[in-house]
Amino acid sequence: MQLQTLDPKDLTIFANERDILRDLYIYLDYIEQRGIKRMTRSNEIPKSDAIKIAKLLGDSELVKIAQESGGTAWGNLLDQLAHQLALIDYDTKGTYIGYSSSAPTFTDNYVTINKVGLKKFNALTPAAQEKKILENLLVHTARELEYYGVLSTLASLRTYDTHLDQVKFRAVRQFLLDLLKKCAPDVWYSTAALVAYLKTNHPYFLLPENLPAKNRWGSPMTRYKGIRETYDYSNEDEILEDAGNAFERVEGRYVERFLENIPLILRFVEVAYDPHVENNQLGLDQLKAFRVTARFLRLMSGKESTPKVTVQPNFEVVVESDFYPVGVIQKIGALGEQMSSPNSGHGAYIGIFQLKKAAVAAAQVKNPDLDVIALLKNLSGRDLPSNVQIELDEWAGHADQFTLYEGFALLESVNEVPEADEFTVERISPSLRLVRNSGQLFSMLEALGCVPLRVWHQTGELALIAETAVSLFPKESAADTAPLPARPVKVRRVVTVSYQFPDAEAFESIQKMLAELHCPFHVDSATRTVSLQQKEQDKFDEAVQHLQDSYAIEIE
Amino acid sequence: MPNPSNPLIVQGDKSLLLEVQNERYEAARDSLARFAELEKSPEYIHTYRITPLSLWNAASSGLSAAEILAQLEDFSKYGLPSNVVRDIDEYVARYGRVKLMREGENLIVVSEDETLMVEIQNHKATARYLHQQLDAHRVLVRPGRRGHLKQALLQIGYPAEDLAGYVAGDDLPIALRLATLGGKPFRLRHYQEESAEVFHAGGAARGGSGVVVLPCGAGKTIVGMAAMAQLQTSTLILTPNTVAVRQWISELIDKTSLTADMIGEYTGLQKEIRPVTVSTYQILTYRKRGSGDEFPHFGLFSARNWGLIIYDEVHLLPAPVFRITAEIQARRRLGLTATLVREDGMEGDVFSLIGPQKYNVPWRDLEKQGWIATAICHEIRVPLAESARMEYAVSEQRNKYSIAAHNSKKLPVLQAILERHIGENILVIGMYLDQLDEIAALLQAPLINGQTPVKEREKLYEKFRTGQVKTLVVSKVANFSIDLPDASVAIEISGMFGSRQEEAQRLGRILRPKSDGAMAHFYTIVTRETVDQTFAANRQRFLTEQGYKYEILYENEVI
Repeated sequence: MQLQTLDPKDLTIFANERDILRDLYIYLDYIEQRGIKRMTRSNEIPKSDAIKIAKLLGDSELVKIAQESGGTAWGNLLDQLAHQLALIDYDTKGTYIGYSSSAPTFTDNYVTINKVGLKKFNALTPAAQEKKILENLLVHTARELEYYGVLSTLASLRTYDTHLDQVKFRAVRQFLLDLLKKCAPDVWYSTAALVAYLKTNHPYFLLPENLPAKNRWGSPMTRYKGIRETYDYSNEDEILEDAGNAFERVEGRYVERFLENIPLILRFVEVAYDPHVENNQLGLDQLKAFRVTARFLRLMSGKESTPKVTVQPNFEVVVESDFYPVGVIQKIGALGEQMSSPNSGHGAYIGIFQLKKAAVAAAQVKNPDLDVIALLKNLSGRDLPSNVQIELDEWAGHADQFTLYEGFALLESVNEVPEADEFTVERISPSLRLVRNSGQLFSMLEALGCVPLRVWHQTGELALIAETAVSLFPKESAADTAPLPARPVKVRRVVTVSYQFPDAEAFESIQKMLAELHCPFHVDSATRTVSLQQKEQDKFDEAVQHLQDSYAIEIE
Repeated sequence: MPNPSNPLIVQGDKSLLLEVQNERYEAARDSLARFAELEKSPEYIHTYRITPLSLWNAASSGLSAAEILAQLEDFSKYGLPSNVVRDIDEYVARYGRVKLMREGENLIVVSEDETLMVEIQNHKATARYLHQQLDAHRVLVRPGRRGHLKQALLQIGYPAEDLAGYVAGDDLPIALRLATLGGKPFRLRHYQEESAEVFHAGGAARGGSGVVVLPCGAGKTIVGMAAMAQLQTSTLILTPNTVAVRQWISELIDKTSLTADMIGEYTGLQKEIRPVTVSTYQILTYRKRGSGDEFPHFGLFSARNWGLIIYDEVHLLPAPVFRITAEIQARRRLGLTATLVREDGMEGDVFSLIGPQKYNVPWRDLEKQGWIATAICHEIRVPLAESARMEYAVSEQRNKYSIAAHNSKKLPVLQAILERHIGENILVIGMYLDQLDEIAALLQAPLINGQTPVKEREKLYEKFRTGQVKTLVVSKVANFSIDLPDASVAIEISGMFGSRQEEAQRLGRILRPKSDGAMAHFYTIVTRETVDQTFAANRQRFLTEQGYKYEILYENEVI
């Protein structure tokens, strides 16, 4: 297949920067961590969740759409995909509970992770995951001619009782993808040339050659009957089979809509539109050019390279992969922060992470068997820079230096209290011990007539003990001796600019002009100096400009 | 054409990742140096960034958008992101759409683009510097506003190509010697010669103003002298401090045909104005308290008919000097620096007022070619002395660094390092004067601090150079623009991580070529598990990003 190339210089290029695999995992993470309760009537994702998800995806355009319309097509695609791939579960049927319509109701319809499905999906390589998504889209995508796709720009056609029901869309899409495989990467081709190639060599790639002459009600049918170009609801054209450009108007249109659907969603192509596309409701011959990405060809070739991980001496870890390597990212992401922007702008995934002491220590606490150095060596396939190795060793050691106890209290007593022994976790000193179930212990001590005092501390600071109590800890009177905080004093910095005028007349004129311009200034007549605040500089310049006709003022 | 075996990844955010261990690395690096800024260069992957300024620098040196894109494609692993292609096209096209030219005595701003001319005439930032429209493509510029207009044009995104030319300064015959006064053979290194030629541009208006970026120790002073020899004109040289002034003067006498009576020193101590005058930014920006905005020494700029002004360490140029520079755009200007990064973000002013970057060689390249020493950084971690632990634990945050820095356990380590490098020229750097006093007494080595008179400092530097003094203890005063050609070891005993500039300068002290080709060593002694180690972590990151080998050792591995 030799297609004509096209320079897209005057066209509007569109490249999808969203990585569907990455976004799918962000969506799954959201469900795992936050959970979603779908809307009772529509079974859609609630607006608040849609906005949060859009924010997590790091796409300001999606956030804006979610805020305006309550949801996004991209978010819905991720939701459908996750469900169709059996990665999440939720009720899709609902129950009719007798409200005003026959529509079902979805009560407490929570989205949950399908652990078995997700485990299976996680076990696939990144390329295999991409292929799984592709297969799903090939099967489940709505008919491109009649429905808007997720990223579609072009208008859809109106149809009624057509032969489109005879089309095996899964096979058609696969056929077109197979054709795209023959294109060179990163070369812009003319879409019209592709349509012309199809017309000559594969005229029945969409609608089969032999179609029934009658419809199911026995009425005569023509090849394109029922497919209508719509200007508005009262003004539409049916496409006649004998029209010279019927193939371009139906099959050609399909090619344009196909390109801006699955291949664009999966970043297999970039497309270039006629810049005046918005003015053309018919959406014919608008997607002027396309180019196939190297990413697509790599996926189709079946050759998959393992993600490349580089640990740098400045504690950065660079991950490079043809496809989103979720396994590697989850491991490295737990040890630091991602510094790179979410979208690389090209087909591959590039992630830059900064290893952080706190994250490494936290990962170590979560998994005491984790050997961070071995993990990074294994992923990068070589020894770590020596400084990084030493630091990681120290950081990992910091993980077990402190133990945080929660739900405990400190019991202080002058005398021995044997009744408290069963509540005691640790004796700190003869008068101090760490106890659990402090409420119960307090009640017991009260019942024993010990007259206990209970002190509640704020999260931010320790409370002071009443003056009458017996305690080692600071008492209320200690607050009086605390030094007063330094009194805040603000100082304003004002920069003043002075201009000295040796010429007496010009000195007079500039004062008048500044006054006319309402510019505050000070005058020192003895030295013929005008002073003003720096923020008034523009007014001074303006004044000088006004005087330029009378005086050639040069500022030294 | 993109190819998976290529070394470069072009990202949509205009950062460029370059793999070092790739056979096309060197070719790619040389190519990128022309239109992208090197952000960091750790061992395996270097990061560059394409910015409007880097593209305008490239455009000013004659590189077209098509050439830049072709080079990116040639070295790239993946397809170029479409937004990057679009932005490169757009930004490069902006440079030179507006030109400054001279018509007789008048300075005019010219553009083929009528609409752009209307915009410039109506934009608040530029309109005030324009005088009168001559026709749809030409507008008269207000006298003395050439620099201001260039700043304003850059601000609105249309950097001007300045073709208005320069005034000829007073003639001054200058030749470079073939042998120094001491009798050593002297000739320009190839990159010094090349940078001076690129700056001069055969005397054309497109040359004559710009910045040469070379690492510390690569001989920027010599580039300045080569430029003077090309132009044969009286020259004003501005430097950061008095010590640098003296060193310029001695270098000029040593390596050019100029004699001492032709060179003036204009500093706080002396006020000589001669055919070649060397001064400091400090004296230029000096003003009496209460004198308002007057800088009495700005008169130096018009004291002679200078044909060239050299700004040494241009990244330190103070704001008032920018202001006066805006008014002397008719004089040739050469900026010299090791880095274009300015802590105050005024890189745009350097571009529009001194001129675009004319020449740049990365540090590591010169190091590989043997022009600067290979340096290794060592961080030695010592525990805090038992006696200071409790004091550290209970002290206020602001006092913690001082306690950690004064850690007495650092001294045995310092002595052990000194024993490792017996016979070498060693600098001990610190920030606390009491600590430095103690060390100087312990080592019986001279101390230079802020109070040391200039003459005394020079005497000590000279002794250090000649090998009479092998160890010198210095406070922060030694950081900028001094020349210690034989220091091969620097030991930092205390010092918070300062600015990126400060760290670069500090390491620059030891990056001079060694006659025996020996390695340079930079040691920092750090107290473990204290804020000292936190500052050291920042320094570690910075130095590894600069591409230096960084080694961490513990006290017991040194003593």
